[in-house]
Amino acid sequence: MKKLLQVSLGIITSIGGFLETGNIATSSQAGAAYGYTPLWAIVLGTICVIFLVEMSGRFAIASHYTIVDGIRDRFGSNIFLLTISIVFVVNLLVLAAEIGGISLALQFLTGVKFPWWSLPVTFMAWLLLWRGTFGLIENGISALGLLALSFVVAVFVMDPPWGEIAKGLLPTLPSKDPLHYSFIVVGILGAVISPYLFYFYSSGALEDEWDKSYFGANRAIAILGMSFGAIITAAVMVSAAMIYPSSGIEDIEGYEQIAMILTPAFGKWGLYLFAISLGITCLGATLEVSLAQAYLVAQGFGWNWSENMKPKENPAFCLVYTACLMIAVIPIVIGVDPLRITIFSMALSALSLPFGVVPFLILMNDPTYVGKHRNGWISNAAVIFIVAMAFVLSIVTTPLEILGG
Amino acid sequence: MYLVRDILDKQVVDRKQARIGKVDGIVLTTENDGRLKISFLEMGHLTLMRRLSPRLYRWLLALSQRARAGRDRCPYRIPWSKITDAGVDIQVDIDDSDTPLEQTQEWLRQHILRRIPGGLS
Amino acid sequence: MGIRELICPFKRIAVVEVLGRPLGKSSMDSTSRHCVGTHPALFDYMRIYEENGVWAGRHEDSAVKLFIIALFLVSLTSCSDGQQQRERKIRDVLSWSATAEMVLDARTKMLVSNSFAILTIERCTKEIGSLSKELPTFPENLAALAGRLNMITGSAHHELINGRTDGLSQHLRDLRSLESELRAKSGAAD
Repeated sequence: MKKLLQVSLGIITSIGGFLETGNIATSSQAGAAYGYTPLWAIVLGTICVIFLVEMSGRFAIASHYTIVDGIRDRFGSNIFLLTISIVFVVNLLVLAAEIGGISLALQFLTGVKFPWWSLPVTFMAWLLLWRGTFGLIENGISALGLLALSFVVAVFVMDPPWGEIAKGLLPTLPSKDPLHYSFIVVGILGAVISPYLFYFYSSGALEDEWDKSYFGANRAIAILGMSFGAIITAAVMVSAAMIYPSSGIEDIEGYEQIAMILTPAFGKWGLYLFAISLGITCLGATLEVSLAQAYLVAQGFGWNWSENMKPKENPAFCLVYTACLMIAVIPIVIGVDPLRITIFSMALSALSLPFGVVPFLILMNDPTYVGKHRNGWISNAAVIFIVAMAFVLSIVTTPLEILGG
Repeated sequence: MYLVRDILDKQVVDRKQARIGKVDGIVLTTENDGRLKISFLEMGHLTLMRRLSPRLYRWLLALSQRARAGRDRCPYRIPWSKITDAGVDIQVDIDDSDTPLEQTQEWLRQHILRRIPGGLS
Repeated sequence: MGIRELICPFKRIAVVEVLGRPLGKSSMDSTSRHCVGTHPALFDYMRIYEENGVWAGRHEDSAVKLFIIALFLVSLTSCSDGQQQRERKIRDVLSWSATAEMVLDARTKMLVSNSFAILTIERCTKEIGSLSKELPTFPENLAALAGRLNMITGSAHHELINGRTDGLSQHLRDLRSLESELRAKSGAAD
């Protein structure tokens, strides 16, 4: 059945697209510093993102709007400008982090330092979008992103303590340094619940012209795609927990430390597997975030938009993502450490979550848009609780980490 | 039909179903007996700015007038009579080449895209 | 066509509800004066309407600002003490030195490429170097210990660049003993 194929493709795209520099960095940091205990943060973040992704698909199907259209329509241009500006700025930082991820992957493979790779990498990403072929390559990149499953394989190869893992899935408080622990949790939540993810998803649902028969498919893709993606993220944390504390590495401050995470399981292939996984997943994320930025502007101001937009058809749209890429590459090219940018952008992501999510939640409960497909109280409660927690923790811990770290 | 709920900030599409912008403002006129009727839909960044902040609007207005050096231009307005349908999107009987958005796009094509390889293909 | 309109509370609109209200006077912007067919009084009314702010826009702004300031103050109160900072730095030094160990170990077993080992040791050296300047010298001279760690990683770096791996295991042993010394001394110094 054609729909089965579409659902499978959607799931693969979600799995392959789930992992990116934010997840890898925050999970490794968490595993090294606190072992298996922060696993519950991944669980919580995944629950939240499953709800949000399913909602964004349901919104697109039921209302024929994208989320940005809906926000502008329901709240007016002023609130639209406010929320979209915040999301736009945070996305720029995330974009910089992703470009840094690809550049670092190439550094690990070749020995040439990452700032040298930043410009060619950005140029290549730009070219892939400029040629208007994103739809074609999206599936290819996500399929290659499945290489990240090697993290899961590594966990099984290393024979982890399953009892400890099970315990970690339940929320526990840390024994030492609770503020740093909270900051790590914030990073994980910000990495897993990325606003660009579900904004992008609703645009995709609209462009692929999902109709009412896709409600079930939407739910399947959201649940299965996000869950498997979360399993990979959890595998990163478990691997980190197994390798780093016993070797004496408690604080991960650089990607060089993370790069050896697959070496115990895969020997000399470990480094290559890691670098290729990092590079490909970050490339996918780079393309997605750049497009998401262009979507934000185009959908907000009523321009034409498409994932395969050719520059001639809509110069303004294409110049938006061009400008974003040009701005995002600057910190990487001047040599700012990509891990630092990643952690910072994930914390800011968590901080900006209410601005991106609350308007969307209001839309999901408004029958004018979604008719009888409104949210149940569970979805509302779960999302509000998790986003509120992420926001409060982020407000309390981020300034401290910036001033202290 | 409620103006704010059903017209304002909605997507405007032209004859060929291409998106040409959002309804940024609505213009009403008073008739001789003092009643108001809808006369135009207004689209443009200046209108948006005016909704956001009057001060910013005045500043941007001054800037754009200086840029256009004497050519006094109205904000882009679509007569109410041109609307053919108002549902999810507002359909108007206009060709998108008349809109300032398309004119800006054309300017971008001529001045920026031409300099970038592959821009005009 | 008379217009009844529910003003949506969020939208600051360019359109108003009008039912025989008197139109006051205010200035017009010059664009509308030249434009087609709009009644000047209309814009006066719209101006007044926007200024009076039926919706709570203005009050909302200040409430949001207060909220953000309050949150920021809360976050400032969660300040750390010097003790925690110092422990953090020692942990960082130990982590970077353990990283150097890990990469040297992997290099002797030929599990990683030479270029990767070189760049990683370079990073370790740089980080330990900058961190050692911030370590205390009293009561235990932790800064000097970190400096010695740095020298070992530095010479390991040198060897890697020259493509030799024979001396690396000795460097590993030196690193390990220095690390346990640092751990013992920093534990004792608390």
